Amino acid sequence: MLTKLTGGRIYDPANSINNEVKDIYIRDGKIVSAPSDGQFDKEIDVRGKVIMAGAIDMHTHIGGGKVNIARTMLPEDHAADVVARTELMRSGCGHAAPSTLTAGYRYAEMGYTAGFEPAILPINARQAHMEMGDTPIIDKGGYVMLGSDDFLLRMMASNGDQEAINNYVAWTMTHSHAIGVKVVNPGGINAFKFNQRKLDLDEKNKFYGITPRDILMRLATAVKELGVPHPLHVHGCNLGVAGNLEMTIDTMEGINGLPMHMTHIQFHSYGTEGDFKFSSGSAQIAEVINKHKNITADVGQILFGQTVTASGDNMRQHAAHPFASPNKWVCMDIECDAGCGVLPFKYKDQSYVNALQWMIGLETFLMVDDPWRVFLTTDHPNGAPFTSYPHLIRLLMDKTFRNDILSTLHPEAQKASHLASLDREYTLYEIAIMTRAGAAKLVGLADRGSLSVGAGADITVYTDNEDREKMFTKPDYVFKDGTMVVKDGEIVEVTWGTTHVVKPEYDNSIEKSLKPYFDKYHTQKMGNFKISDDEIVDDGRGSITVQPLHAGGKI
Amino acid sequence: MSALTFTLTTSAKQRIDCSPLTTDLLADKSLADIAAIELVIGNSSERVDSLFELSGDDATDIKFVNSTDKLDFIGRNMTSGKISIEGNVGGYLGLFLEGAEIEVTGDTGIYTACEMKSGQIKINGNAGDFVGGARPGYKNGMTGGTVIVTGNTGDRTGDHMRRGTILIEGNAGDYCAGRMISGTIAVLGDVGAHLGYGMKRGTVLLTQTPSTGLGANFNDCGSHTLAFLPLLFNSFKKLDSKFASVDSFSRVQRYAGDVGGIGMGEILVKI
Repeated sequence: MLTKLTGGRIYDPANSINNEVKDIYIRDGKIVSAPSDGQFDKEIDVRGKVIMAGAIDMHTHIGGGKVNIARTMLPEDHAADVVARTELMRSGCGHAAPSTLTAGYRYAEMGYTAGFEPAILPINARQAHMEMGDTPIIDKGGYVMLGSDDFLLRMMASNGDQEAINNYVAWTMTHSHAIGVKVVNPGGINAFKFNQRKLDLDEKNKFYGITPRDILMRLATAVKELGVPHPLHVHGCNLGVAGNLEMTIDTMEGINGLPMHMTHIQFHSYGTEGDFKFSSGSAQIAEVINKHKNITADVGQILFGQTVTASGDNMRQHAAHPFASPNKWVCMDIECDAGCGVLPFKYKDQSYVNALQWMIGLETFLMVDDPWRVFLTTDHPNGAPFTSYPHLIRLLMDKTFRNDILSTLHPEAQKASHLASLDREYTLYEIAIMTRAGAAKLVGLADRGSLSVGAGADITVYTDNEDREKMFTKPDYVFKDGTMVVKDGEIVEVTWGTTHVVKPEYDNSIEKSLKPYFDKYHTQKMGNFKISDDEIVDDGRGSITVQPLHAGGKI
Repeated sequence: MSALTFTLTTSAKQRIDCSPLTTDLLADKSLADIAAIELVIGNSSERVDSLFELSGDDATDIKFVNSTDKLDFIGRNMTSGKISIEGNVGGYLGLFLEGAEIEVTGDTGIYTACEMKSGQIKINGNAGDFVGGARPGYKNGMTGGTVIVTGNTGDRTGDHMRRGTILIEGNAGDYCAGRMISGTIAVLGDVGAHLGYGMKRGTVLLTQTPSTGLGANFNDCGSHTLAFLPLLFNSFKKLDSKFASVDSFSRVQRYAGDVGGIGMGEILVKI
């Protein structure tokens, strides 16, 4: 069936289309060119409406062990937000850590058609994929977490060559079905087990003698040489520590031009000036990002209210546990291979630190010049639940709204920030870059985030509204692979998205050393570690989409 | 005006959520409206009049007759008036109760007076586990009010209890006052094992040393004459309970714990 969307105002940065009136044709889940005979089966009148590709959340914790811990630990999060079943949708609950089904519905209702889980521990990847497999409508995928795993650290400690590390990274990505590689507090999760409670960029792991800088170089090199489109996804050292600014800059500059994505950079942009010994470093951070074209960043904006922080960074979560609200928290080792920390948190607008965090995030958005290299995230749920994205978009697009809220925050924090003097307002085109075209390019999705002929028909249709929060909360229509899943902000059909992966090539000889390692140290055998395609495809509800690698991969 | 009475006419096979039947929610409703309320039973729902026979008209004074242990959530969130129950009740009796009164002639299930804020619950029978406790995963149990149990209580009485008073005329089960934050629990009978496990603050008052003894996590602080005890007993005088007629005493052996934590809880045993 050929469907025509007639007369919408198209914002498609992937094709440099900025607010042009054009028709879009959909057939068999793809965007197609106009039929030569002018015949179509169904027409939807979208004249005057704003059309963008489906939005892509490139960093959102929607699956895996730590989300489940958050769910288990926070019955109050669920009791306060209960969704009953309908004829169409299953029941669910949860505000900060929603159930899988509810997460999928809520993303779709906001016009999001893909979300990427940024911290899949290889040994837990099966469970993460099962959870994401239960997240309806949206496409998903994940970044596999490396850098604190003993196998890599052993290879590095024995000066293993880069080729072997590349093989290990590619092997792990392939068998855990990842689309990228993430490193969390490089080596810090491992160092925590040797009783180190902080780890600077050039500080050695007590046991392995390896520094976070070494790990970043090795992994960033591997990702580049394998041709993986998504740059190394880095959650840096010393998250949340006043004065971590310099180390963040050092991390970005020290990678020597290799592609690197700095995630939730707001949490890594703190100085030590002023009476509170806590100040904004966003100007310096933005300057470095602007200068280094190899660096991309997502912000990890905080918004005020109750949420839960779930991170693989057990070292920093352990340090932050006195601030847990309500007062309960978990830090744990996972399968002797990594760790995680989960603690509920309430961001308060009358707290100096929280108010300044809010300002630092917005300053970063407004001072990074290139919207292709900065991404809209709240590090769901760590800064705020993803359902607050429309509010965040309004903060970026509406200076008056932003300054009105700013003027109600902790007065000393207001004095410490120059946010009020930033006049920039994001345009719809820039929002489309950040949340669609740019995100697709960053993650490495060749067929998403654009309205090109041949792309997957993930399309959102909004009614233009000066109140951008209202506009982005409730799209008129959302199409997922050509199926109308949302009408007037409500789900009308439930579909199941695909899982995006990359399959970098590797030399299978790596299994010669991996097999005995699994036999001796791991909780499962190597054969069981490997997730087969069938497990994700399930009974046909799920599917796997292999995205292309960059040309020129070394292997 | 006579009490609004719900007489259970069916032998319920599945649990019935009675939380809509409180003085607050039924005020200003006609009998026909009340009869049409849908109650959740198991995984479906049924009208009130298909389960109960209704009579009376005073919605500030509610009675349940023929009650069984399948009736859950009676008196949830109730802030005024009284509910009297003839028979047993199920779980979560008086959940979040605030300022109202509940009296039961039989036994209650788990989580009686769970996270109760104020008011009074009297049970003329035995109570189940977690009397005055917090819901699973929550940090604070009852934060005020009085619970009187003429019989025995199950395990984990006063789990996470934050404030208020639990008076037990019979025996208390294991882990009594476990994880207790503050408040008062008094027991006239015996107490099970692990009394005060994880107790932070608060007072447990006993008339006899527990038959299983006290755990190593409580330190003996010697015998004391505590002037507040006669005042406490005096405050019991107005209650419809054996505690009203207990001979006041002020000499007690004091034990402090749980020393595995902050150790500011106390167990006082009459000498």
